[in-house]
Amino acid sequence: MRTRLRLVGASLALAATAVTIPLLSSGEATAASSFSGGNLLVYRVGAGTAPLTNAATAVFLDEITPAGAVAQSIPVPTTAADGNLPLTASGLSRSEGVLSASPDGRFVSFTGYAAAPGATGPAGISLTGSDPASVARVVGVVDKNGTIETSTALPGASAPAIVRSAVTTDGESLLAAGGDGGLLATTRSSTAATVSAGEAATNLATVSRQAGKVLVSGLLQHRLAIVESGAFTDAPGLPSNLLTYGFAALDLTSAGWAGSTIDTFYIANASNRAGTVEKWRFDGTTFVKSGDLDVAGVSGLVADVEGSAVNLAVATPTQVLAISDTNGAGTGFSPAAPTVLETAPTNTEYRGIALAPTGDLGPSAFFRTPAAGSVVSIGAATAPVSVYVASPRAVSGVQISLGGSPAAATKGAGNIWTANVPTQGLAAGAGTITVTATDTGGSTTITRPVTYSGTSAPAGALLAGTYSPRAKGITASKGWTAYAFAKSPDGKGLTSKTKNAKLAFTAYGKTVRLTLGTGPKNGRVTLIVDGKKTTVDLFKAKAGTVVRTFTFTGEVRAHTVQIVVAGTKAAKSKGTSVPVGLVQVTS
Amino acid sequence: MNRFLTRTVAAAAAITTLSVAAAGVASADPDNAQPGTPPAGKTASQIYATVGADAFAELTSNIATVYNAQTPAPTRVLASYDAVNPTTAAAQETIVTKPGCSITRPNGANAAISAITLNQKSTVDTNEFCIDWVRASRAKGAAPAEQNLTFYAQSRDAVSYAVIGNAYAPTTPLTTAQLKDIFECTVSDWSEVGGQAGEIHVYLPAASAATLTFFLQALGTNLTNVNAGCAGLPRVYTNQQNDGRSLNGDPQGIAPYTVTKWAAQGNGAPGIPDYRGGAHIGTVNTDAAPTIATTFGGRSYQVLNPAFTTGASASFGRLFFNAVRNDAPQELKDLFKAGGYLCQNQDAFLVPFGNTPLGNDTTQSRFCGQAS
Repeated sequence: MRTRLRLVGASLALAATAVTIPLLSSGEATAASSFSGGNLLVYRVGAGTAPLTNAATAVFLDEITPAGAVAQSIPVPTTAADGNLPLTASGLSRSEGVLSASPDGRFVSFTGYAAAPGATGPAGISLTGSDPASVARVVGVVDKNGTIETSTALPGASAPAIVRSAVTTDGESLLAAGGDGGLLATTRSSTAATVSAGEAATNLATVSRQAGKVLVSGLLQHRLAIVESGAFTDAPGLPSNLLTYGFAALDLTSAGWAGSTIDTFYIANASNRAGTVEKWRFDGTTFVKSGDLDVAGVSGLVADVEGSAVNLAVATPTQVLAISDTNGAGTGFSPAAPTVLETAPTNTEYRGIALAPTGDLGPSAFFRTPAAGSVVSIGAATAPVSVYVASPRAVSGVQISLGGSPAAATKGAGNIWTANVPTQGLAAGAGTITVTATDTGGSTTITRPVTYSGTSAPAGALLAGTYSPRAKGITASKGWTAYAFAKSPDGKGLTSKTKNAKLAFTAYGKTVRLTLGTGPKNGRVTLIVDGKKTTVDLFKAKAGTVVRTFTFTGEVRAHTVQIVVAGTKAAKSKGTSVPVGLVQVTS
Repeated sequence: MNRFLTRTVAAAAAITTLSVAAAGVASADPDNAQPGTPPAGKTASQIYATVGADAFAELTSNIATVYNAQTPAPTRVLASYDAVNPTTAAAQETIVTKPGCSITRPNGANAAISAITLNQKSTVDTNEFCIDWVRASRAKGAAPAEQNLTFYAQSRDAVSYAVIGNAYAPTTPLTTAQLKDIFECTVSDWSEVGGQAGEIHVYLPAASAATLTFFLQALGTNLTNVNAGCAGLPRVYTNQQNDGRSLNGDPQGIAPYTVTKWAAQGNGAPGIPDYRGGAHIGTVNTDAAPTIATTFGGRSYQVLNPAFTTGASASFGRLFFNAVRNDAPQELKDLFKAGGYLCQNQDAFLVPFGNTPLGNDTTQSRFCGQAS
């Protein structure tokens, strides 16, 4: 009987899609199908067209059902597009390709190299020997829809030669690890990282977030450890020569190790016999081995608790296997022989394994710009925001807000949506960009923290643009009447000969240009800008216009403008009319 | 303390811990409860004692167990002592092979051959040698003292290298030249030999191990060259031969390893715990697998692949021998000679331990019990 893997707490089992996508294809932006809850996801190296080598090789994420069928095989980009980097792997580097799920199961993270298939290190050596400064180490994220996001590059100075593993909590913040450099912290789409724990020589295999903790497995040191505040706490009692690329930390008893709820480890141990799957139980002081099962070449491991049973799926380079510990809560471990779920196609190999990510229906959405934590100027009337949105269903719209009025984004090339989002009313300091993408299945909302700088336009201010004096935002006192003025956006201006009749507005920009009418019956007007008065005589023998421009220095800010009918005139004038044709603001 | 020494100490500590844990299943010295002591209740003249190679120590212990259990009981019992303490892994400790025979436990065939040629005798029975035969993982040498020994061919073996997984080591064969460079420490990174980017950690067993000297010979080098290139380097470590656990779960490590010992550990042969420690045997020059599956007594076993000891990797193949004095008792010679006790039962004795039997056809270039 096949072992049924079941994702505990999956919010929604998305539509099961049993379409088998050809295994031997790879490319960019291939539409994937939404994952089905409870299915497995396996990192597979190789397109199958030629024997694997140490050169860059295409990567696929295979979705495998508990019954052992390939539901779909999603190619990871091998070329740059839509802000995504290529993500390939060295075909024969068997410590790579770890898959780590986010704690809420919405994302699975993985790593690779920004290299085209066939690329090698210098002089034909392994891709892992390439300089990270020229061949970026890339972090990828895949979500419920099978959408793959690979825009994050680890910086060359601190990137490991062999990159193995990454994990995210929310699709934004990331931890990554590899053959050197320790545990790195970064954010998605970033090219900067900081060392979260360890040092230059710290060689890590796996980073994951389980049971509320950051867990790593190391090579030669910190074989299995919790990382907190930059310090490693090694799990006691485990073999001193432990080598694991896959493990599950579970809470099955009342005990808890190191302030966590972790009391049980299932470990794919690559340094016992020819490889074993082991169960270890915390007794309050140390971990004690419950038992083991021979699985030659075991590498990846994922566990799923179902009642008192724990279902395991493990990966070797050639197979995906299922193991059931029917007495998961007990201290023993004597499962039946593994069941083969899937065998790697010729010229391909499996690496890491995880439960396929799931989540509420809605599009996939990943920020592109601005970068997380970056400074966004609100001095301009709008700020540009771009976002990668994709869905197996039709995307009907994307709304973006900086905390004020939302803006509808427009779709450009590929899956990039952009909008110039109004900044009016924002204050300098911490801010949040919110994107809501909608498709026929539902909506997805993502947020990104940023910092606002500058001064934004007050509500109701005239932003850069050309306005009729009758426009919203311009207050007119009694005594103004409309007249035809072709250059005005609405074809009309306002005129008055009533003394002290006033047009008032706030302009947010670098210049304010006022177009006023001149003629034989026109009088004088008082222009008050930021409290400073200027009087202009609009008398001319023939009708025409005159433009008065007020230019402001320094950063963009708000300026008060009043146009007041003086009620006086030149001696030759036959009236005191003040026609106002246009108001223009530039930034 | 430099890294080399630190590593050495750490490795020794690990061996001790793990050996204690595994003591319940290991069997090697005659009295497992008291390693290094002779069979209880036997006089020196009632014992044939052997020391020597680690590579087939358990195999010989098993032969001794079966031989000693015969009915009627043999005149003398066989007593086989491991290359190191089977419980603590301590090397070169003092052991008593027979009453009145206190010797330094030889750690490997080279040391054992040197020891047997000393002709040390029991202090309580001066007619009895303390060592009657040697488990030899190499052929008879040219040294004059060795000309007093007769080497009986037992089985086919090979020495290759072991690595843990392929995080760094290549999945493709290493060439003889690459291995020579690795073990002379003239290359330092796995990516230089077809692997992944990362430092090569060289693990070397005791210099007295014939497995090491044979392996180096197969590479076209020797201990002198190895010491000249590797001594003092922080990436060079010591390990116990044929114990994958002493590779410390280090995927950057590489060590010589006896192919048949590795197979025996995986086969679950009598008295030999699975100490592979995740290590697997690497291929050399060609894709010829070091081991193949064979069936004996209804069970499948991994044994040395004869193809691995021919062609491009022929120099890595070797024979195991049992070396006795030329004037040893005929009773002892009869154990190992062509058509003798061992050769009559070679499949049963050898296959579970991964050895490839030589067969009894004396017209072949090699056959069981062939004397040299």
